[in-house]
Amino acid sequence: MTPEERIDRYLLGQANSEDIEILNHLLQRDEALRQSYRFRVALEGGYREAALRDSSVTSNPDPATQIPDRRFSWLHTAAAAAVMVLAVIWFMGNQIPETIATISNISGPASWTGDEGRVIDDLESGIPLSGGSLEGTSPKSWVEVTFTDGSVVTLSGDSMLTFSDLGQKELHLKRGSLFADVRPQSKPMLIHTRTASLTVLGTRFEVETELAATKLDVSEGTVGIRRISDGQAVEVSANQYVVAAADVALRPALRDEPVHVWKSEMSRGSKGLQGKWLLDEEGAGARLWAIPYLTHNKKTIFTIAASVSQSGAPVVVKSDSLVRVRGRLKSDSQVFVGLTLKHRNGEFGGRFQVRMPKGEVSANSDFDLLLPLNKFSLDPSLESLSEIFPSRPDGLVVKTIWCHSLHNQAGLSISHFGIEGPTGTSILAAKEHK
Amino acid sequence: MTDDFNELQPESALPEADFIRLFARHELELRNYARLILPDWSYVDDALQDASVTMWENRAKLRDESGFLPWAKVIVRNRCFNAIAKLRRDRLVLDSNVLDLIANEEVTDSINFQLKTLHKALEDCLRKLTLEHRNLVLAPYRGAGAVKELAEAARRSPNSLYKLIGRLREKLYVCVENKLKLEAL
Repeated sequence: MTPEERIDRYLLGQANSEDIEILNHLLQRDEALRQSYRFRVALEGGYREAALRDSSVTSNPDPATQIPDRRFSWLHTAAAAAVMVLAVIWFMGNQIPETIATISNISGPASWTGDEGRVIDDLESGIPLSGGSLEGTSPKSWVEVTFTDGSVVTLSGDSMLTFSDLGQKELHLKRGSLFADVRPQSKPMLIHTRTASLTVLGTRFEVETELAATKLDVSEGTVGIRRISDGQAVEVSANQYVVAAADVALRPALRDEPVHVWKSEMSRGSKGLQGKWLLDEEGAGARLWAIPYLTHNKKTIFTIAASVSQSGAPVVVKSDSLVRVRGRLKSDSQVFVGLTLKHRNGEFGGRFQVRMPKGEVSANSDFDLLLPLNKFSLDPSLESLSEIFPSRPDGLVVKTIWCHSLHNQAGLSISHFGIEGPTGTSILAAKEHK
Repeated sequence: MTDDFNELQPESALPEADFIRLFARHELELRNYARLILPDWSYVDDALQDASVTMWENRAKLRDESGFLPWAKVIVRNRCFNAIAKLRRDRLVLDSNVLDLIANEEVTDSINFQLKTLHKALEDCLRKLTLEHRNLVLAPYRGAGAVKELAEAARRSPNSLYKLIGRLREKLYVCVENKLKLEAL
């Protein structure tokens, strides 16, 4: 927290003893900070005057909420004169970038770059945004942004979106995926990726982008898409999807029927994987090693993630589905396995997780676990928003499967992720039976 | 600290009407001066009311207009430090040495802008906010519990709203600073 933020906390009556201690120390020594304090106090009077003016024009009938004005009545005349003077004088210039959107929901680490390049990484719901870049910085990131016209764009996972609204919304999805629920636009919203440009007038759809391809999946309305490599364009209607890539025909197709089983293919390369991908020394395949991420509250977790329904049919979990995880741990640590889910239309469906059972995961040994879906529960960081997510993950599409150890580098690596039917014996079920 | 304003009093009296006019002219600056020392506007109101009574009772000692502001500031300052000495038992306030330093600098190195100009610039900047954000920024000045009520309506914690208010105030600070720089050109 900056000294200036502590000053504001003090002026708002929110400072704690630590703030006071630090401020006493800094203000005693720093003349520039004392000047800043005086400037902020000078602004205080302006805030109070503005609140008084607002109260007088809104004529609040509830006396309990009126500001007690204890100044002498003859001073009101002076105040009124000041207001008249203020009303007459009009300075040119607009130094606050116009707010074009607000963060309406957020979970997991994310950062915002705007306001002349300033980076804010402690984002929270309600923060106003002008033009700039929003970045989900971990596989568990989720940020929902609501534009002033009510259009909603959701970033999920490791994603980056730059946006502006200078009379026309223009979005650049640099990486990752977004879900959009766009209100009717007077000028079409434009979305650019590395491989495609989309034109949107008002609809619901999902966009996923990677280095060489963009996938557009439309739930409602119609979205135009133009492939950048050759300029070819098509329209994609509800319940259709298209992939824009140089080596694939640009042809909308009906959505694939969902499947209920899936397995990772790590030996094929690192595409769709997040972590440090290395071939096994024995040549028996590949392995993904956990890499550190900072959580929203600045704790370090070591995470591995794999995209599940990225290019093929949607993988939908059922109540009796099992999640398979094979891997290795070098030192003892709590390990969690989780799923990031979405609805069939691409809308974020929450994150559900389970803690790996103690005793089944131990230091310097391999593990092979089958975890029943009914043991997965909503990620605690989403608890405050539990009413907007399904209470159970079954019936939802798996977007990402992930695994992480807490705080210390425990040498977590994964060689296989899978979603399986109820044929295997779940390790958790077996333990409970015992 | 004692009321030693008598030492600063001008040599002879001003008419009552002139005193009232002078107080009205400088009230904003005196109120700002008190707020530098006191942690809350309600204490500022109390201190200024006490100080104005003292000034009124001693107005006969004022001789000319130029002596009014320093004289009035000494009275306000003494009232504020008396008040904060009592407050210190019940709430967190800055150290007296620090407040003394700030109050001295305000007298010797008065901020080089008019408060009214600054408040006008702030109002311009406030207009650039959405109505929702304007209401939020001004909520702390709408009586006790206004921020809490907004937080309950939004189903958020008051703490998270105060964080947002802090961010908005920072934007407004930059906005006002830029406007004043433009004004100075």
